[in-house]
Amino acid sequence: MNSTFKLFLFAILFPLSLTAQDSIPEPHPNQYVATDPETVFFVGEFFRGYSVNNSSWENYSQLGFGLDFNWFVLPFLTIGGEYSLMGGNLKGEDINNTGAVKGITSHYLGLHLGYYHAFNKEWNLHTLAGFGEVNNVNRAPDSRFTEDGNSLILRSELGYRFDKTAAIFIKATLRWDRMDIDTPPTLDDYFNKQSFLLLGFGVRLHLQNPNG
Amino acid sequence: MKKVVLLFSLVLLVSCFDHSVSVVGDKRMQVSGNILDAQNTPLGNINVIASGSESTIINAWPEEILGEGFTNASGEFSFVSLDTDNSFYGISINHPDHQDYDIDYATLHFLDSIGSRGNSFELVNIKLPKTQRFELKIENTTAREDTLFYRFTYPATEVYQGLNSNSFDENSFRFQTETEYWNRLLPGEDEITIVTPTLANSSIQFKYKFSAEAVYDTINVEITPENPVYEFNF
Repeated sequence: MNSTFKLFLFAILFPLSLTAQDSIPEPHPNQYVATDPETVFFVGEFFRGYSVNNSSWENYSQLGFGLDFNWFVLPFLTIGGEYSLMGGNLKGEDINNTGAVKGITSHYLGLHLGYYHAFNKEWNLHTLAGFGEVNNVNRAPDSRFTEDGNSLILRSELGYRFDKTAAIFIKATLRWDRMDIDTPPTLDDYFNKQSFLLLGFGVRLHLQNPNG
Repeated sequence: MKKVVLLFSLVLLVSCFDHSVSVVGDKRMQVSGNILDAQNTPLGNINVIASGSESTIINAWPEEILGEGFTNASGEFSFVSLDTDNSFYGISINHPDHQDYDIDYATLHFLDSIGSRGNSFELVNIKLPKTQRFELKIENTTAREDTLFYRFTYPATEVYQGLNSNSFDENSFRFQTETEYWNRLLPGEDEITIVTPTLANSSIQFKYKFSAEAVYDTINVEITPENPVYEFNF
């Protein structure tokens, strides 16, 4: 495990430990948090993926976008759902490790639980854990075929709010995909256990209902 | 209007004959093994292709290729292949249509029938014979007015085998290891030269007769890299 990966892992996991508090913290005085729990925000993001483990996805470029919905159940707690699409084209022409799969489009659809922490009026951290389903559409030279799997994610987003409505953020996501592909034992992990580090940025649209 | 109908019919006809190699989802296969020459020396940089095919002839067109690898310096190869459920499945060693085809060596095809199969294939100690050019010269040196009927049989440089022992009837035409060529030299034709690749250091059987009803006479010819030409004069 290299140091860069450890650093990202720490950046993602450490904020999760902040949720282990005995009492619900008061929102920061400068926080753009409505007291009404119906406040929601929508997210649009772009990301680039990197294979963390030795897996078949390392042979493909990894670029994608996502659409995300979050609802503040409590001022610091969100639940939501996400759809993301990650496309991958084969790097080079070598199909030795992949079979004749020239490209993959990976659809992720999942739910997540998040912790939202405002450092001050502008800066905030949103950390999420989620699960979902993955549907990979593979492009072979003469046909397409799909493969399904399950996925877990851990994500941290460092956000900056311009006002009550608009914000931008950068994010780091760890995503573990578990597929169910029939392989010889020596190839099982390579095709069935995919781990990604997804680095990206995006915008948020916060909508509030202050009068309940 | 007639042209439109004709064009539509043509498109429909072509689409009826179009065959796509359908890939099985949720499956990856591993193809591995090693390749040696006749002296048991490992052969490096030999292409190995897995492909699907509508017929028992493995063409390995780009749209039919399911996996591909090369032997390393130790003659070993290992690669991932997709599977197909609507086509014959074949593994070809040193396929002649591949850009890195080595003309000095033969081609071996391992063919499997349409249907399900395992997820790994190991081809161990595969012997890949050397090839050479063979030239047959037939010349009418005596101005004889007979028709020469001739045929010759030589080892094929492209050989099919069953990937699994129970895949096919091994006596089928596709698995023959020899190629036969026959023709005739008519009166007035002075000579003919036939050039074909065959296996190095092999034996070729040349048969001839001077009338349709006669029985062939047979000559066995040893072909070596030093002696690639056989001349038959009559």
